[in-house]
Amino acid sequence: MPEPYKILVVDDEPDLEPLVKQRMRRQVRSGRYTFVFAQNGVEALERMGQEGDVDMVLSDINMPRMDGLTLLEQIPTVDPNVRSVIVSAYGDMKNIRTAMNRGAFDFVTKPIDFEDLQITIERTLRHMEEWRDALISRDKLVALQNELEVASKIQQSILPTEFPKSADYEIYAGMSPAREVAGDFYDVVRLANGKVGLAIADVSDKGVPSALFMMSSRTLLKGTAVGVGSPSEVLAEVNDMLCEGNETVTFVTVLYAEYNPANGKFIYSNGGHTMPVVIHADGTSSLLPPTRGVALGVMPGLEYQQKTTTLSPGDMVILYTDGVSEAMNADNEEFGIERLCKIFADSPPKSAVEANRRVFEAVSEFAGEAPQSDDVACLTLHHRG
Amino acid sequence: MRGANKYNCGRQIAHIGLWQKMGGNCDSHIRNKKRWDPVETITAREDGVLIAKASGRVDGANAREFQNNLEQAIESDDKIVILNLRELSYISSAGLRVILLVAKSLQSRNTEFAICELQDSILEVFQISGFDQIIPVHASESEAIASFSG
Repeated sequence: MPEPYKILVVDDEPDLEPLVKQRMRRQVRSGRYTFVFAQNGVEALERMGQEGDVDMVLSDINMPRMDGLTLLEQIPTVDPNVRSVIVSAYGDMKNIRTAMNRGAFDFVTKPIDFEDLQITIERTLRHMEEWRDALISRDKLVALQNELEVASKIQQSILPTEFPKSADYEIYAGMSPAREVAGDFYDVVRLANGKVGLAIADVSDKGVPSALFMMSSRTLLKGTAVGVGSPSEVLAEVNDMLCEGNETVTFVTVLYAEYNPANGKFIYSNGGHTMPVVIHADGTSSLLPPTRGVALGVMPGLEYQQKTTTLSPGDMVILYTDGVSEAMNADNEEFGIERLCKIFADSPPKSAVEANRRVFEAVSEFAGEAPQSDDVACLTLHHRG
Repeated sequence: MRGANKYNCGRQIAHIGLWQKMGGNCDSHIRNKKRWDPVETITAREDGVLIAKASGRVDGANAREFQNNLEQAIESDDKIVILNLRELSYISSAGLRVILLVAKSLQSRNTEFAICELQDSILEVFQISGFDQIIPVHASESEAIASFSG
């Protein structure tokens, strides 16, 4: 059974204490609430400060040393969560108005009708319970929010911000989460013989569950990419590992490619992801020929196709998630791949940094005031040749 | 050099038919119309075949509801479950996950499962994600049922 609520009765009339104790004895005996008493505002504040256990104040207005209206002003400085009910002379609207304006929750009039007082106390206590529950929920939310911010920083910090670069090529990438934590990610991995592994991926759904899956997907992908084989073998192996114990059937779509700066060879494999776009030096564009494959994490033992294309000098390969192609504007139109291709039709980008920036700008401009509903990730490879 | 495996964007779209609707008016129109409809699931049972019809949109906000609807509809002695998606106008990855979960749970108790009558935009989602390779997709309920007999 919870502690009884403590109600502080403040009145300079000495007869009130025995009266309250007598008339409210049933409620006190039931353990719902107990009473403590003070003679005036100063004593009331002292009593509140001492134990910090007062839940509600029931106060007269006219008292020596400190009156009830002044007490009302002081109570929040001692404990802002205490609720006050004022006792006033019948029809004294002026003081009642002042008391309400100073934060009194309710009032009762003299002579006290104890049945009415009991109802008023119950109402006040119920309000206070709800208020306290709301405060606890708020504190929990604030704590969760803080944790999410930390998680967001951790997650952002594992996405590469510095990219390998040489006279032959340039890489740039960015990600804009729809919420604090994201399911989209990209990665750039240095492989043997000067080759570079490039990945873009999108975990199903959004928020914390996706973010957790994203972290393990990214680690497995990176480890596998460095360790073994061709892109199709990498996806097959990561898929098998992600399927182990994946009871929630969370999945991740991945496009993984191995790029050789020396000859422009771009070998790619796709697990359920949208195909990259290639922007040529003259501003024209093409989609890489599709390879079919199932998103990773759903079914073990799958095989993945891979294809090879040879990039021409000046080609930019843009890998992106559906946060780009499916960005919506206020009219519920999708950004679409055609718009993505058209961004560069009139003025081909000069660098991967510029191309990547312009994709984000175009998506943002297209979406306008529409809220960002999905994570947006984009990675650009500029093959200078 | 531009090899034969490079396509113009527009030709590529026509060639594989995956992105046909992306950014096109038709798709946007369908989504627009159905945008605020919740997901509804209606079921009918005949000769041990459960037909579930989903309509509206399935996204992160109502995927749980969609899952509950399906799980409550399916009974342990159902031998064949067909999910008709004719009235479904949009499905997000959260909704795909629900269909995969259902497929997986049915597979574990040897119940046949297929989806049918997908709108173009929904079919496209299944094709891109590759899930049409692990869940049977049919043009009609009768075709789906026929695929399990014999």
